[in-house]
Amino acid sequence: MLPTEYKELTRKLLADAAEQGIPMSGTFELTSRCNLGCAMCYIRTRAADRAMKASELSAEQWRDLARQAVDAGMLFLLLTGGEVFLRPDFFDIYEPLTDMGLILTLFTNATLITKPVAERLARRPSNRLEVTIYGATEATYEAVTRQPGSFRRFLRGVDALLEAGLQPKIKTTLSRLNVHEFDEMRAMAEQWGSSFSAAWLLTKRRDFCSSSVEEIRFSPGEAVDLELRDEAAVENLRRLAEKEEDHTYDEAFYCHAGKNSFVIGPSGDMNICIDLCLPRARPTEIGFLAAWEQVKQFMGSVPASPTCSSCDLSKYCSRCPAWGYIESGSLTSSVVYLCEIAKERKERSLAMVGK
Amino acid sequence: MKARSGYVMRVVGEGSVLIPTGERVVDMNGLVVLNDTGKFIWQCLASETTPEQIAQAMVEAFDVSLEQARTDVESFVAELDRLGMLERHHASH
Repeated sequence: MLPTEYKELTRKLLADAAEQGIPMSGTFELTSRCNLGCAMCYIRTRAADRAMKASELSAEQWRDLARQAVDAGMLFLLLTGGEVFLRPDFFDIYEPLTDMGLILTLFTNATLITKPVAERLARRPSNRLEVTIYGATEATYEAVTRQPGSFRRFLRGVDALLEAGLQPKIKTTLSRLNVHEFDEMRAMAEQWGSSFSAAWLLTKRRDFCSSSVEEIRFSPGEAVDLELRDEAAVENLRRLAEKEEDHTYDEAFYCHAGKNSFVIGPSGDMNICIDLCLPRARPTEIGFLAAWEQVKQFMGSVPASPTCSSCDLSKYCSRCPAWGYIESGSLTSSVVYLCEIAKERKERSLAMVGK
Repeated sequence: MKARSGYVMRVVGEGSVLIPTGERVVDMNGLVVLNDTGKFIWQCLASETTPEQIAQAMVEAFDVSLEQARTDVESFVAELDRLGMLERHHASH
């Protein structure tokens, strides 16, 4: 019997799907292009990038992939970018998806959302709508987005969503550029009646292009200071310190990547997760199910990191093959930045419990 | 009464769920888990019917007394009503 409480239900559905290798959770990256130019972004290409635009799947191809994925068991689907509303055919993709029996989530920066767009979206709302805020003031917001006028357009977009009766969840990506406005951003979200969350663990770009993320992401000490502002994180560290046995793992992917979830990128490559552009299966050429088989096989072929799986910091560490690949060029490499964060976590958590 | 249109029933793992589509998400954002009885009742509601007709059909389909079937139908129909998932033709009452 399935549980009826929503969180428990989704947890059970996803756990069962992982066990059976059913692709229940999908992500479609409709474009990597974005109208903002955030320094910390792992994916962004220019909005006007013609080659990139030409390589994107058509609306019909996305709809066809969605139908195949639903037949294979997809229940949860995230639509993200880049910025999805850069695609003039966004609604040609989105609206048919809303009839397929999916639990849909939509990510946007809201800067391209006008009143008509919001009203059209509200007629067939996604189950979840997440909007990213980059700062609470024009100066900070635009220091992050490097796009003059974007703060004003963001506020207009959020207002349009609220006026249309949509209630976005507000989230931010924290860096040294905007962390000083954390409380103000949270206050704005509260004022809009929205929940608020923040991410701060920033990777380099997944395509290995140069980025300035290392200049703006937090030092390990700053990162853990920030983390400990959250009560749940404090409690989690305390629990880890009290746990006697070391956390060892013998599989490379400790999440659901390649077990019940997949990502299809803008030009149709099917990959194991949003950060790791492998194995680049081609569902438009070989069919969804054959591509999913390749993703599962890839997941099973990656060995656990010999260094990390026996490390005494592993229970404090967020490393995974995607981090190893992006930061150190190998699926099994350790990641110096994460090693240092894990050391900080261990020291702080042991101090918490007086060890 | 009958089920409102705009819900898709999907078999997931060991059970079935009802998922709102299109504009129905405005009315109900989430999903409804169906057990075997719920699935049967929902399928009966695909066309115009009454609680008594569904209960009778349940007696045929499951090893259950009419009294128990009436109770099950009543409680499930009340839940569907609460979620706004039924259409009722008031003129016929």
